[in-house]
Amino acid sequence: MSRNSEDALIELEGIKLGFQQRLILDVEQLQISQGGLTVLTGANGAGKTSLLRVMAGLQESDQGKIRFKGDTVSYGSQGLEHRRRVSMLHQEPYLFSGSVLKQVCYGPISHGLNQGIEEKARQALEAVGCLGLVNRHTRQLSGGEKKRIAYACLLALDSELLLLDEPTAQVDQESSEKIRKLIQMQLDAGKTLVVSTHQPEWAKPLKPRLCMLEYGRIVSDTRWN
Amino acid sequence: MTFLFEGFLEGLQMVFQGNPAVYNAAWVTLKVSFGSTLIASLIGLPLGYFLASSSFRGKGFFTVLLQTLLGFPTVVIGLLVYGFLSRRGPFGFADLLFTPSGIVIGLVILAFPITTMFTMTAVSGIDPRAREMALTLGASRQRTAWTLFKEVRFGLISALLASFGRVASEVGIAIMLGGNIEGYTRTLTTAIALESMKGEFGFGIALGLVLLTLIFITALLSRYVQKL
Repeated sequence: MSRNSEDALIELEGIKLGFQQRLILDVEQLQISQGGLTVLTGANGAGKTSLLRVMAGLQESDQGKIRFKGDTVSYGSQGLEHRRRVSMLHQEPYLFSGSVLKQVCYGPISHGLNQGIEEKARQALEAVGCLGLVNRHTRQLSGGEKKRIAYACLLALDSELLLLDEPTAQVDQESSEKIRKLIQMQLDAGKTLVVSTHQPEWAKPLKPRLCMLEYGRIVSDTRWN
Repeated sequence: MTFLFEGFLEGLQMVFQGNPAVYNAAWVTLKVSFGSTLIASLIGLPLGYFLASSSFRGKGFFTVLLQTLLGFPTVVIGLLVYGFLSRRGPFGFADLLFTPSGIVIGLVILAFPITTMFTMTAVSGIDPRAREMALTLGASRQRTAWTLFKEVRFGLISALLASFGRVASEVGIAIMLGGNIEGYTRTLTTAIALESMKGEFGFGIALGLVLLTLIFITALLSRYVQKL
């Protein structure tokens, strides 16, 4: 993976984030190139989720800069453009009250699409193996199903950068395998993904770049072939 | 005990015979209650959302101020608004005293803290992941707010219902700012107060029955809306 600034899809520089007078994120520099998988790993509280949230534009850092394709990322009401280019799958995703189809259509509608939304949503649901749940109420889904539906929401958006926070946490072996296949499909399509996980071995077949975090700092950055 | 039973029967008779005084008062009550609940919602829903989803200096003080307004005696609201709307007051030129609009102004002051506080409580109780989900799926701030409102629609409908119930059953403001003019500003509650003082117990019961029916229908409608 190239680390030249020109190739970078997203670049973080001097990012510092504190919480209750404790530094939870201290990333001097991180560049993620277009296409490929980056895995963030580390113990609980290492800063994986915070780093993803900062990259997603959901959390503003106290210091530092983020550039997406060379443009400085804004937050709050100014950050809408960035949030439409980057999507994040939360560790325990929240699904809105209503049908699964409505939930998956939410993103494309928010992005201002007005044609082929339902078709896009159905394709995304098919990709995650949940087309049969299309009319099910989101409150009637299991934890694994919720995660796959949330993943379908991301797929329906066609975002440039996908951030997945612990996608295999609290899911069974079968769902975990399905998620890995979905990631492989995205990688084959030339997408850029950043995944946080406690079990980096799970991602080994995908040959990712592996960044290890400790106390908010990136302590190792290697390619896992 | 007999007078209670007779009064109740007389009241029922008046309701079913379509007594014009009863239905006029009901119409005025509906107008001022819906009008004030609507305006209070237009102020209270966004204000409650703002208070729940943002932090700023003085937020605690502002919240306490709203909580104080929740317990504000209605006659004091009536008195203050009377002062502003009377001929000698700063808004005397508008000629709003003893009009339905005058009552609506007073009722809005009574209702908006209820709508605001209910909305604030409902939105504060939303799972924070709901907001993040909307944002990460590319929703604008307005769409995010609308999504969160839909997620807490039960709480918001309770806010509207509580406001409606409060303004429909209020007496002090309606008397002071409306003047209890028959067919114009006489509401069900001011009519009940007047008729019972005159010893017209049956008439009072009839008015009370209509008022209860109105609030019951509103509750039924809100139940239906919640299921949509």
